[in-house]
Amino acid sequence: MGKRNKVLYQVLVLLTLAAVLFVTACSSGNKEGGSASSASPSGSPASSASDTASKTPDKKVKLRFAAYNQDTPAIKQDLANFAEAHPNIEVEVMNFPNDLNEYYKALDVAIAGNETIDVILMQKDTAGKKATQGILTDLDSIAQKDNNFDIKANYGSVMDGAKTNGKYYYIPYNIDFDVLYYNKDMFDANGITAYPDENTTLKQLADNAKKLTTGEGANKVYGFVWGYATYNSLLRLIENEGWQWLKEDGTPNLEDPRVKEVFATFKDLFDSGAVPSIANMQLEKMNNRVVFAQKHAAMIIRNWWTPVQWNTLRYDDKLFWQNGPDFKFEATHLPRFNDQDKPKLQFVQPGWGYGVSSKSKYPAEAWEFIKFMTATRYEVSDAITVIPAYTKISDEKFATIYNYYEKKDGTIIKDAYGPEVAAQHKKIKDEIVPTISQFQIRPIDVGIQNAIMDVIEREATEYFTGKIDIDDFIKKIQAEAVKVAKK
Amino acid sequence: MQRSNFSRMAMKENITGYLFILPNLIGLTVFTLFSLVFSLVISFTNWDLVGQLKNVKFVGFDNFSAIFKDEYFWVSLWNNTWFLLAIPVNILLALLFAVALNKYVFGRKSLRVIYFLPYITNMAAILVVWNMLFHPEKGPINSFLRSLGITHPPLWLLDSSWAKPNIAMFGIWTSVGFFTMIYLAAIQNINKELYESADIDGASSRGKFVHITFPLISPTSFFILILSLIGSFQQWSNIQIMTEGGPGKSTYVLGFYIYKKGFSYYEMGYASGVAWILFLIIVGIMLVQWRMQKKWVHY
Amino acid sequence: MAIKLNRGLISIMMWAIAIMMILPFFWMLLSSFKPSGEVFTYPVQWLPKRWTLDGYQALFDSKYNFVKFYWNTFCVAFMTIVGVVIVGSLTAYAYAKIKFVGREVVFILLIATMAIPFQVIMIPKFIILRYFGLLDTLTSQWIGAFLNPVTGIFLLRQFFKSIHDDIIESAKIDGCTHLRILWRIVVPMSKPVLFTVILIYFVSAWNNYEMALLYLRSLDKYVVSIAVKMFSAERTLNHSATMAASTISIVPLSLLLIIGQRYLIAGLTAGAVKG
Repeated sequence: MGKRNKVLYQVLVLLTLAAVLFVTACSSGNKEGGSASSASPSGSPASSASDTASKTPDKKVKLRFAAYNQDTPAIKQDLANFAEAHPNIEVEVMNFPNDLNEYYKALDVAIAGNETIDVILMQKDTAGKKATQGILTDLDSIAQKDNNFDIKANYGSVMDGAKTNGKYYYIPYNIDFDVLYYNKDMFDANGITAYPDENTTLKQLADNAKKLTTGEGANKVYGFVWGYATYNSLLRLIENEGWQWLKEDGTPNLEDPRVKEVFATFKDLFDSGAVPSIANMQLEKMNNRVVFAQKHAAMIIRNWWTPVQWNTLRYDDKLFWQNGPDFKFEATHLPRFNDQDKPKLQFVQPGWGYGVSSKSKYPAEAWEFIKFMTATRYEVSDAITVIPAYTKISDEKFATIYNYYEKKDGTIIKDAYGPEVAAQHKKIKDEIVPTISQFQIRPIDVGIQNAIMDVIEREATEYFTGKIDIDDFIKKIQAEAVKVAKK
Repeated sequence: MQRSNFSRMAMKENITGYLFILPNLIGLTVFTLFSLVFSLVISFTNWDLVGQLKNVKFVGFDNFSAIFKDEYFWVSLWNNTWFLLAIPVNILLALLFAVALNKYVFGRKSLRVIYFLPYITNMAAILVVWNMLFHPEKGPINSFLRSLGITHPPLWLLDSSWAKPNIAMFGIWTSVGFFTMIYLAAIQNINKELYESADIDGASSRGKFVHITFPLISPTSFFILILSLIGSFQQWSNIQIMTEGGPGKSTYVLGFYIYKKGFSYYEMGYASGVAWILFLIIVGIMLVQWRMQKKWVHY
Repeated sequence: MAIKLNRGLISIMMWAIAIMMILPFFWMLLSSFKPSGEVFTYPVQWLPKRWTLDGYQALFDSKYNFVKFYWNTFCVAFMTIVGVVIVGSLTAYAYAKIKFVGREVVFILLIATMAIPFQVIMIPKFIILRYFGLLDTLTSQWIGAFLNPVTGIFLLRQFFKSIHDDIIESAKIDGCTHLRILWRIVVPMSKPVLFTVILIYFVSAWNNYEMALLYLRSLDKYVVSIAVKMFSAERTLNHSATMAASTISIVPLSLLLIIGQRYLIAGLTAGAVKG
């Protein structure tokens, strides 16, 4: 019996050994990611104050760059260009997985767990939040040491919206803005001579939308398709004109008459069939860019990137436009909310950008990297794929955003649209008046804004399915928002 | 002599027992215990997830008193209680399917795989089909209901009265195959001789089920019951994907509440508090079930 | 005759339900052969207008090596199962058949840990993994289930408990240690439930998303569940690749199920206890 027991124990030991060997084979002994952030349990080292180390140009410095989706060939090329220009700085890309929300979640956990990070990729709201929490270094002081680099002159009036407590904490590499696209042929066919432009009001757009709606079922043409499948996104139209989420006393501002008007306008449009309902857009995962290109929408509002996605859809997926666009379309400014409002206003925000972690040991090098990734890389590359915040980009470079496309099979299209599309977009970009430059916009805590937006999302279904009327709806969302805005 | 032999054997049993569970205890202590303590401590602070941990302030029981005054907490609790209704339906269906798939159906081997498919299929694909089926205007289910004469069929996920049933059905559809599989294993484990001797005694199918099958798989039933209870109380990602808690607050549940408060509104301390309350609720229910199992579970 | 009729009726019902169950899989399979822009159209399209292998090609071009991702996922699933079977059986057996002091109390505490919501564990686990240098390793994905497969322990314990004590006692009298009893007697008797536990954990390890998202960083450690998400970002949208990756994932899961059918057939309790 004893002997057999011994055999059993030997077998067990062998099994465990086999498992261990298997584990080593699988993980190929790669533990660098974890141990780079130091195995000490007491947390991160205090942020170093010494700038001397970063001033010696020959010392090799390693920056850890928190970002996601950096695997595209274009970005790899950019990183290579940076390495060439700055041989003493090595950039390690911490590739967080996935899409936007997942990236932020994982990033928050990493920061909470004290991982070493030097440069962080993020959006403006996140930057603001992290700045107030002391996670980011202010860039004004670093830029000053860099020959008094003027951030606002280099990155434009959009930077007015990028400050937190009067200082800059991140630099955007692109800006995002919405555009109204309309099908000129449809307007002509319906005898509407007044094409949409920067003076069009929301009411005029709604009236046109109703006139332009035709057909049923598979032949249906919507007069207008909104670009964002959430109810609270409708508020963007009044945000552009200076509406704010909170009143001066800090309570939610949903009782403002403009809120009621914008929701009522859209409900009217949904009910008359001129616009697909938000619920349908969610259920059907509608992409208004596709709908427009396939001539099932007379007008759409979506951001400037729309013609770029059309390139993917027509060249790689071959969904439409086998012989080029088969109708005349134009891009113009968003409508004004009413005829007292100034035209061309948009709550343009700086988009994605980079910030420096307050715990970084190499702020000067991190700043060099940020400067490169927001400005120099666009000057250096053949074609660009975003609209940079950087103000000194040439017209020709700008046009490559829309006209230059690399197909999946490697062939390159150099003139996808001709000159008009790019010119129209550049005009819009140059003419846009950022709302933040016209009104005193009070900062709102991201958490509270999320909470109010969630309230609107959940309660709006009841209004848009006709269960409650507009006044009850407004009362309800105001009451709920007040509850969640208290912290 | 006899007494010392006895206690020596008992001692040996004790040591062996603890040795056997040692690896598990190690894992428990390192991961679970630390996590529990950590989150308990956080629940007494005002941590907002992004700030430095060393800068958090202790707020005592403020979080908890705020939680008990928060309408969302009570609504979530109510909704979670409502969702419990789906559990007996789910378990009963799983049991019926398992019995059928055991013997009574043609092509059982393929059917078993098919019933399991929703559990392992990509969520996006499942949602596409579900939303297509239940589309308020164009979906086949509402078309069918209209053909029966119901002029205004429910708007399902867009209707505060029908969102919960819809989500409950979705939950059953995606998980019944999983439970069926577990029941199948349990049924297969029953000694065939028991059925044979029952046949000799002239027992009916129903009799065999009630007196042999059901009691002998009761340990499995208990397992499935506990798993379902925990899953039902913890659910949140399905809510996030399907309704985000709406319309109104009709599908707001505790798991989703924790997620939103912690990761969307940056009130991690508060969220940890809710998580602990949820934990204690589930433990309480489990203890009650544990006591009650003496009445119907036969080992 | 009556039985045959019953069988027929039940079969028809079960197959009708099965058609509903298989719809998503069908849609997913067909969508993997569509160009990305065609996947999410309305009305829901079943057959591709343009059949293409673009989705599958995207998975295996040099940028994203899905072969590596599948291998990683397989490693994680394998190690999870090794742990679940070894630690799970040992622990469950102890709770079921070894009489040690405080057994019931410790078991209840163990089961209570099933009630802990993942949000509670997420961040502390991150801190612990970092402390042990296990961040960004595949180990971080299976170590939790390896050491604490509480669902498996629970299910196995239920099964083990229903094994007659007489079997254990007679083996003990023959001089067997508990380890031997577990290995030689109990485990062979429990093939169906062991298979079920393996199936449960294989699926959960394969599809686990939250853990991979939080604890993995470098591309070469990715597992399928998060690799698939790479195709959902606005700029690199490729819906058919997502569907293709998921379709391929179903293969090992279904294979496991089909092979394991053997263990689900005809109970084995070799008439160990008479009368």
